[in-house]
Amino acid sequence: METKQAYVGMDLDTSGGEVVEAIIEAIKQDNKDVIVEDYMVYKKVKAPKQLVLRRETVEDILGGDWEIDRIHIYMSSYFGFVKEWDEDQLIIHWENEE
Amino acid sequence: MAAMNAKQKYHAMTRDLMWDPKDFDMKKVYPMLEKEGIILKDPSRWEDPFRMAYNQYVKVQAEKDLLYHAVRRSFEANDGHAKVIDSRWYEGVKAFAVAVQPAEYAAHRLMAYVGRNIPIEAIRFATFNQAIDELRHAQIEIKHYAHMSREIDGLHAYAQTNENLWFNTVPKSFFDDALSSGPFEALMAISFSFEYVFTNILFLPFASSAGAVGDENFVAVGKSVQSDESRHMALGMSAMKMLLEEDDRNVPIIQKWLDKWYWRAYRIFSVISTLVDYYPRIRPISWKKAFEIYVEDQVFDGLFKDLRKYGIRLPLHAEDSIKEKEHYSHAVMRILDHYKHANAFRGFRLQPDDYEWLANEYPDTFDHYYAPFFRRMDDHVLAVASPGLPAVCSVCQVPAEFPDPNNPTKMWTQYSEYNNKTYMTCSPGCKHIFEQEPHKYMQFWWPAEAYLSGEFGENIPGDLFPYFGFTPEEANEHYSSREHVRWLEHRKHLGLDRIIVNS
Repeated sequence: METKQAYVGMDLDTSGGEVVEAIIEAIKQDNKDVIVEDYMVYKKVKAPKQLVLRRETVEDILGGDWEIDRIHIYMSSYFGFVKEWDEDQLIIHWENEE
Repeated sequence: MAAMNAKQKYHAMTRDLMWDPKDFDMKKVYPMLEKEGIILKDPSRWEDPFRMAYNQYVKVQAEKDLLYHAVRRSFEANDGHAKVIDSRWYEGVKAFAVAVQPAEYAAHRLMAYVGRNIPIEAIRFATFNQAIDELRHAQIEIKHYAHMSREIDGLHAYAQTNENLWFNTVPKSFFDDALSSGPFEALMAISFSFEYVFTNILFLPFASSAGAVGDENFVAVGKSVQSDESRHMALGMSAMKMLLEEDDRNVPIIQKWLDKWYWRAYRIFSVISTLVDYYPRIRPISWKKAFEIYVEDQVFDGLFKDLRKYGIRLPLHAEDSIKEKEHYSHAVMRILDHYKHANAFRGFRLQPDDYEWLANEYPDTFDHYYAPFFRRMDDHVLAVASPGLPAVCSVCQVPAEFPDPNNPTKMWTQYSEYNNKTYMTCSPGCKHIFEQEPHKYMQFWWPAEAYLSGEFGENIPGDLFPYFGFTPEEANEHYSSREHVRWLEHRKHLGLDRIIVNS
């Protein structure tokens, strides 16, 4: 159990369609070693120790304005501690340095 | 004036809204605050990471409701019920109905109780939101059942069934236990153990199953409800962190609550294991895999590593739940089959593809320990029925019929002596909980005692059914039921029976 990588991440409702796809794409662009798992009605997107979602990256992909608070509609679940949440970014992380 | 950013807005809207009582003793206004030994130095530091204000809350929730009801109306208008791949799915939805909706309603009361008794504005705002969320969940679920009950059995006297069905004491005892705890313990019980650790398995894999079998309405119920859970998890996680950081003396108290409520929440989810592994004819994921992802990876290997720096270890019976993942759904389905003739949701005869899927997913346990039991129903659906009422666990109220995962042909049932009486529990986890507070659990409702005292009526089993709010025809086995016949007729009416898939 000790050797397992501790991931943080979120479960996103796929009925969000292109917006959810853009969120996943933005997370892939802005984080290393991102894993996406498909559970049909939702997708789990996760990264080791820290995951950042940036509004600007989502907007670039969507080609229009997007408010980060819209994530409330699509984020069915998350794991990790919310470190930052403001107009520009959402950061989820684990604190331990192991 | 410059526009405020989200952080400033949140502070302006949620802080400094209350006052410290001057004319009354603080301890009298908040009588529960110091009763649990929790020490708070500067709780104003605590904030909700989601930083939501009321106007934003209303906007987001309205959108969720509109989304849900659009799907529901379309499903109802288009005979969605007849188009699922197998009607036995609805027996699982009934299990969800009788177990989950009362839990949602109880959670709303519990959140109001926590907010009333903990004078921290940020916690109050989060619990206020959650209390409304839980009422929303209870109501959209009831709306869902109201329509379903035109098609399916078992829910037409919903309020009475909810009140009197023996099976319902499982969720009720959980919430009554939390509601009769102090406010901080209640917060850890629900926001952390129930919400953060386990609701994922309830609403995500079960919603995937709903999608796989074609129940779009239930997918929408599940996802609409779950979309609030992120906020509920944030409350549990940040409240726990605050309590651990406020004072070292809080740490052993929190550990004790995690030990108790991890197992309590794990046991209330026992029926969910059958909703993942048994009721759906197509399953996207097994209980074992869901447990590995949501509990072992995300909680034990994720969160608990982070909590180690505070001196927090894994819950006492975490290891037992890991061992039990190979047995859980099968053991619980066996319990449900023992008593299916007196329950609001039916059991069912396993089909050849069920045996195959279960054996593949559980190669070490299913064929060896459980398949022979289910095969006894092949010839007669009541071959495995237990006469009489189940002997339930004094803590979780689930019939105490769980096998010992170290020795699966033996029962795991435990016994404790208290006040010259013997109390039975289903597992070492529940035994531990009993022995921490025997005086609390000795007050539990025993179906067998209720029977002897005449609570169920004079003539058993006949009187049981009016008391429960359904008839014997609404219980028992699904594929031999009138409900299945009706479903087949409905499909015939729509012409669905003529569809032949070329292979």
